[in-house]
Amino acid sequence: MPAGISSTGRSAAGAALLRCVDLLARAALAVACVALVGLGLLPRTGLYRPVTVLSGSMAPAFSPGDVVVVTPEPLRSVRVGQIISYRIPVGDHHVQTHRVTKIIRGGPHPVVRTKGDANNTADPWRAELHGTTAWRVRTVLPRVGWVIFWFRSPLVHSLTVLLAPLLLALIAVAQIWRRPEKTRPEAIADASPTA
Amino acid sequence: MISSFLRRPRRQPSGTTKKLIATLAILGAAASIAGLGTYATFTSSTSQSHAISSGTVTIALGATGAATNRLNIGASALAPGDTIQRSVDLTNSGSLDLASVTLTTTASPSSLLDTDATNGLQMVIDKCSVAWTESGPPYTYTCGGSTTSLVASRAVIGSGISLGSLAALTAGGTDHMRVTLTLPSGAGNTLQNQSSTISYAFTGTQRAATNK
Repeated sequence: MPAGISSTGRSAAGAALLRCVDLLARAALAVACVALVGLGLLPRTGLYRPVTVLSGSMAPAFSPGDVVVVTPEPLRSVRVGQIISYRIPVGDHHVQTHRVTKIIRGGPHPVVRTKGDANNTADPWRAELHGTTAWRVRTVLPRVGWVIFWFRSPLVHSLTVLLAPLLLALIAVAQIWRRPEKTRPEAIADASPTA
Repeated sequence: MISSFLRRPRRQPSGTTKKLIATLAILGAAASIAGLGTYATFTSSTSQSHAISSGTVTIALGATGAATNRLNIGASALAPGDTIQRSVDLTNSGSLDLASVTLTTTASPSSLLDTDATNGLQMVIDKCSVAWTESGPPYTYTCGGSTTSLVASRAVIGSGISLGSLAALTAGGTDHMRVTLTLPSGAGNTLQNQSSTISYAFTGTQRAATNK
């Protein structure tokens, strides 16, 4: 029956498309897991920290929206030319990432002068570095910060952190309540990669 | 045909849909625990000395040769009790508001006039709500509007002297300032025949980052 043949042909094409979409979904899931581990969990070990750049004074080394990866640097080995993240000694004491232009005094708590590469003068303070370690820029991940910002915007944040887990829970509940004979084998096959 | 096309999706893609929803949930979680922000503030400074006038980027002093900037006019043969008044306009010609403007003064060549904090030159900075009315030379200034003290009497040399709430903190704002240097009447003989060149460097620091 021609209609039957065409129907199976279409559904075979549909199945191929679905497999393709499923493959993309797997890839997206893998990327998400890498992001969670790399940006969210591993930094808790203290081996490195991803830091989002908010303004452009270090262009072209890095620009707003980039994520820079900083690693611990012993305070004694802070050198001129390194780019370090530290809390500035004035104003709101925000974290700033600038290049060291001068070591005014060395030792366990060095006093440094810093400057943004794109600024025409050095920062108007001498920063005495406290604590046990400085944080030195090692790698730049271009534009990753914009993605983080977007996910942090209130609407997207509530969609992803509240609605998405709620939907997952509803699907799980629906599957538990469904008749077991038909859904069981597929449910297990589908659930295992995400579990 | 349609039913078979739809039936598959209904049974099969719940896995795909779940994966996509899980992707969003994981990315959301990753973003909400990832990293703290770093600010790389813009700093810009402009400097002016009695001998040299120099350019500007974001904050600028008024043009020399008029009441908008008399900081390049020197003074000689000071006697104890003498006062030097110089006017200077400070303009925020950038597009950013500033958190603070500070003044750093240095002396080169230096002498007892600037190194003696007690009997050397003392500095006072006032601002006027309108342009200062200039008379002289020797220059003196009167304010047709209201006067505000920016820096109370102190030794002339200092680093990062806060100038308080200036109109120039706002982009496009201008302050009419008057720098008054006084050689204290208690200055003794050691301060005779001394000579210093004082440089004034104004530094503006960008306002705290905000959401735009």
